[in-house]
Amino acid sequence: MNVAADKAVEAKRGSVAGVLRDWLDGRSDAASVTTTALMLVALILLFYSVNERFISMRNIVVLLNQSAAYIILGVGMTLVITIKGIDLSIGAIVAVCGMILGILLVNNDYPVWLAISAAIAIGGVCGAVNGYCVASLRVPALVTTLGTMVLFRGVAYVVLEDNILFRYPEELLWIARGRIFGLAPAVYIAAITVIFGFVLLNHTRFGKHIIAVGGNAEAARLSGINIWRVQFLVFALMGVVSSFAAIIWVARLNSTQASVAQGVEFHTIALVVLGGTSLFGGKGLIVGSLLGALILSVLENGLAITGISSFVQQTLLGLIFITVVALRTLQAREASQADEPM
Amino acid sequence: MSDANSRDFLMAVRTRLDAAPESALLLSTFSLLLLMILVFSFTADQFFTLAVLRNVLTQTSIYIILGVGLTIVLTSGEIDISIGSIIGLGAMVLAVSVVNMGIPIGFGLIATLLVGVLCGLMNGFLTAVVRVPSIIVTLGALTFFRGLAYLLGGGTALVGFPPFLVWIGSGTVIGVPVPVCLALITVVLGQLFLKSTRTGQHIIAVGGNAEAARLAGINIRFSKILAFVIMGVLSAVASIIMVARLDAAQSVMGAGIELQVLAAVVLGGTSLFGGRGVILGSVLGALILTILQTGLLLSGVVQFWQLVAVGILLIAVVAIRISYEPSEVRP
Repeated sequence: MNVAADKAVEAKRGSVAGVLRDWLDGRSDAASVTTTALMLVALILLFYSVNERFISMRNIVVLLNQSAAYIILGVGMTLVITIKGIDLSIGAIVAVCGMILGILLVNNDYPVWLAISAAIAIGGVCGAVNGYCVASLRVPALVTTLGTMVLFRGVAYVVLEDNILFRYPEELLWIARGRIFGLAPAVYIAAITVIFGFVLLNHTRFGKHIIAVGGNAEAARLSGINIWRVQFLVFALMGVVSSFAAIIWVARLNSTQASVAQGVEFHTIALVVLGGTSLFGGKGLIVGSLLGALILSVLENGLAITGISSFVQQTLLGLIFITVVALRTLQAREASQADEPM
Repeated sequence: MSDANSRDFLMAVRTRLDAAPESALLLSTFSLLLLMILVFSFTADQFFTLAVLRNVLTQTSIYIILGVGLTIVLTSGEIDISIGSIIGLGAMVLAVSVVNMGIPIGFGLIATLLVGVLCGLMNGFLTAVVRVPSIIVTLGALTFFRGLAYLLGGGTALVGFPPFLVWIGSGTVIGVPVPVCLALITVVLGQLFLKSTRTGQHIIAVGGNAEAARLAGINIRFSKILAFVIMGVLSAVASIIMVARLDAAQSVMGAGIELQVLAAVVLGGTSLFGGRGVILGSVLGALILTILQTGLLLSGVVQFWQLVAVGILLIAVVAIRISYEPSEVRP
């Protein structure tokens, strides 16, 4: 307690050391993001020291392309987790959107813009179903999205059965394989989604409402915020964003099947948590999630470059994730103790 | 029955429901189960044969065993999504020790159960002591344990188990399949533990209101860690049964089972927010899921529609149940 009190006093004095320690304690959002960024840099340097090819133009392009879909999903999931929700159905939504793309573009010859619009609309509908169940029926988000995860995946299987649809038109493939200033259009879509999510969460009224609902739903309701609307829209937005990821996925793989993107939800939750977004709601870090997505991609890509077996890779990924989250929790607890009245 | 009489009766039922929400939950789950059996007895001819019944029960026994564990974990206010990976790891430990190293089956089984204890201890420690949210802990553990399973056994199936293990999978005791016996024992022990022991009551209290439990002198850490350890051991038991039934072990075993078990437990009326665990409900929930899947299959419905049906059923049941709960209980 003395140490904590000292820290607080020091910080108040504004001494450089105090401010710095305060910063590193994880009390502010900026500090969480800084820690995540440092982690990312450390990992990049680590893999660079193992293999110099890690920081080559070619590998960076590959890495960004790989992480584009995850970054997009991460932005949506950050908003969902900020309102204290969770969405396990995003992998299944990706499958349903991929199914629509396949039916319209492979089985039929509809124009690409129409197929993309349809996929986005279907993603929105799936998200709206989740939003309706959570906001109107008051089914807990975990149960809702567990149910819709099975439901949406089931729809994809009923329609596609075990078929793999491939040979998509060039215009669609361009999204993942074309180049604008050396990077795939998918990367730009990811960048725009991040900027959109950041502005929405931090610089709009709706964003303030999201944070308020996640922080204390009862207080938010009493202050006149329409909780129903916030919950519904956030889940609907998650659905829309999942359709972007589906489009990028299909374009990259040039194929769809009902089992696509299985387990993506866990990967996405992991990257959001790595980025410092609180699972207790009320604190969402879009930039943190961007960094979290990059960390996971760097880890996967870097471990693959070192030539370690995929079994060791998986074990290491789990171990690193648990360690980082445990450390971050301890850090946050220390910080919150310092905030407590003496 | 006169109008006043029936109103009295309804009032009595309602008071009864309010006073004992748990039996009301059980009743509603049980009615759903009966309804489903009734429907399928019309749509599927072979539904009521002994072979089908036996098969359904044997299949369900794994879900029931895991369901009892998850009910206890949810009651303590936590969640465990790593159970599928504990099963994979347990199966590999059993296979590597018994098949590859030739250790006697008894020791192999003990080693498997020990691994379950260790996995549960890890989850429990990180959740209760480090205080990382359990969904995150077990999300990481899901990857970690599965990775360990692959490290141990590689990607191939291991076969060649001794007859005793095969007996666990396909043998019977007085006509009842061994997995069903194990499930029965688990349910009885789980019910006794949660309802009739002091530690079980503590777990309910911790999940219901951790702050009040702490003030009442209950050791929160111990209660939560114990819940995770029980879950780990039961996952190990489930892995033994799975290996025994297939007479083979693979690293990928149990993948995705956590979501099915979670669905069964939630169908049974256990609260996701802690403090209310209905073990018998989880048993019924597991039966509902298996019967739904078997029934649809025997009715000639294309296999994939089962997924759609399970999803809709889960959301509908929980939505209806929540609409009947007093509003202050709602999240």
